[in-house]
Amino acid sequence: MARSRLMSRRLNSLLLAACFGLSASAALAQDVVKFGAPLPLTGPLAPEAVKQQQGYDLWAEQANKAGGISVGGKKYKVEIVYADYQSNTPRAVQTTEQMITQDNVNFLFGPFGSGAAKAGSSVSEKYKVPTIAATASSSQVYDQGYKYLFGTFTPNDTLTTPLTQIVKAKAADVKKVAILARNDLFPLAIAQEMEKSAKANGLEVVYFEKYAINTLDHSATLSQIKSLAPQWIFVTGYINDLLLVRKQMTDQQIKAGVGDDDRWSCLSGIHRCGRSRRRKHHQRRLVASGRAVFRQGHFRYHRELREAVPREVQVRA
Amino acid sequence: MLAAQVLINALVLGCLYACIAIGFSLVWGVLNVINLIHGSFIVLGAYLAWGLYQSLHISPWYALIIAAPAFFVLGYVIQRVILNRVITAPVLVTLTLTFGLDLILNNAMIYYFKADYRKLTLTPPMGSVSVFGVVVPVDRLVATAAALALTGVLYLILRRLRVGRAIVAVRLDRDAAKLMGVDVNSIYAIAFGLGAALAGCAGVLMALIFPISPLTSTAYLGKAFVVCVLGGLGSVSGALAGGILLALIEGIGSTLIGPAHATTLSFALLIVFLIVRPQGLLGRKGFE
Repeated sequence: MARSRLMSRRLNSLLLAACFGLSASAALAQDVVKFGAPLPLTGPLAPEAVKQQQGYDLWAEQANKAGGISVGGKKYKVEIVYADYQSNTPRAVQTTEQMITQDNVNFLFGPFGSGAAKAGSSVSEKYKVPTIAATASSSQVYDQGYKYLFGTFTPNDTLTTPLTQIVKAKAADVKKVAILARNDLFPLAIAQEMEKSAKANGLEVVYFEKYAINTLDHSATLSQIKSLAPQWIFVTGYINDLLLVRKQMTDQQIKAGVGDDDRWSCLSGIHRCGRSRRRKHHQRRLVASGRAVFRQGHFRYHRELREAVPREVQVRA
Repeated sequence: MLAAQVLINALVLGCLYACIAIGFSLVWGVLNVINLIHGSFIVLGAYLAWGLYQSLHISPWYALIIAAPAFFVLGYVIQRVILNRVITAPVLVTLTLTFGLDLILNNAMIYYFKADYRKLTLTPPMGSVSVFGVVVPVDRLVATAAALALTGVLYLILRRLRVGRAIVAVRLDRDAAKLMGVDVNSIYAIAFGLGAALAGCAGVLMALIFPISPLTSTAYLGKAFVVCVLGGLGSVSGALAGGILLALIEGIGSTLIGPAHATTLSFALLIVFLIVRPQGLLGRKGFE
């Protein structure tokens, strides 16, 4: 509940800012504000998109229950138009254009993830439709000089830098980091930020490789990582990738050092794990636990990083 | 040490690839049908194993016994009712037909199971064995053994049983087989049924190893295709050789030049094979 309130409050305030600031006259003929949300409801990103849709629906339901959004003293009901772009980025761009030209939406939630959000933003910018990229945190999305694009996430390095600092402060035996990134905009961007953060904090990056989208098996990669004996393994990707990597890490008897040894921590599609002789002492997990806390955990993640983490980190190294 | 580990990984993965490809190879070899529904059959088999384990606590090993006849019947019916109508048409027609069937089955699975990823996790987990520092996960090992056993069974069927000889005869010369009194349409249906049964069994084994989702069907189909071209069409041992070769190339490529380029390397090899040795490693006309 707290999370949804936070989310809806954030979105509300942003939307209002967008309303007043940019297109107060654009679409207020009727009493409904129409939002377009192109999402990858089928295809490889479907699990993420379905959760995202539930989030949007929750917000719309709560906003409407409260009488709608207030614009200039008048209340407007919220309506969300969805379209499936089948996890296909070029189709995301077409869908975005369709929503603007045929569904006549007033605002847009950008397509899912940094890559598609960046691609879609060029269309919404052309038609001057205010867009919230609700699931993009890579700086490459926002450095285009666009005026109609808004973000909700903090940049990738605000995730990796504090994380590295916490690990460095609380787990002194972590010296070597291995990074494995899905070759995709967000997963690769955050892996590169992780590399920078690790180097800046004096950790040695012993492995940095990309894996192709739709990789079916990671055993060769993980064997190689294991042979380099890093204490921290940082894998980026989406649900399917992380399920597979996690399973194969257990298969290869790669044990956790930074976090738990059996459970795993996954934040925004980041998997942290490492190897340690003293793992029995590492009973507390570093940040949130969870089988697959994914991008939707982002809001919670930032809150937890601020509030919960310093308390929770009790790594007795 | 690392070399040994990479080698073992590749051998085990290669047998799994062979298991994925064998049914596809049989159908392509005997019926000359590029069966695009194969990947979706594998996923359906995985869902069967997952469903039986989740709801009735039936171990995937027993699920194999259920999957094989169920998928045989499914494949037999599809061939008898639909595919046999166009079996003599050019290969593009059957390709398009199986493409359409695949779309129907795959989207039905997305609708019914949702696109979410599932995982069949055994309790207690099977763990891994470690010999001289080389680690092999037990579930993969057992799946490899099962894959080899399935391959062996298919080999014996084709070699020893009357129906198997009939399948080989139809593959070698359709018209001559017909003159000898072989019911060609029925043999087609049986071969397609066998292919489907092998796909279903492969799916049950894959459920233990890979996440389950309707969306993984294209990945399986892609691997099956490459394995068939590398190993040689319609040959039982060819599928095994092709699978191991593909896994070796991927494993070594991933270690030496990075995982991002492993796929590139395997497809480059595919092109080389198509040019230099289009019949594949062990490709021969007919079965053994």
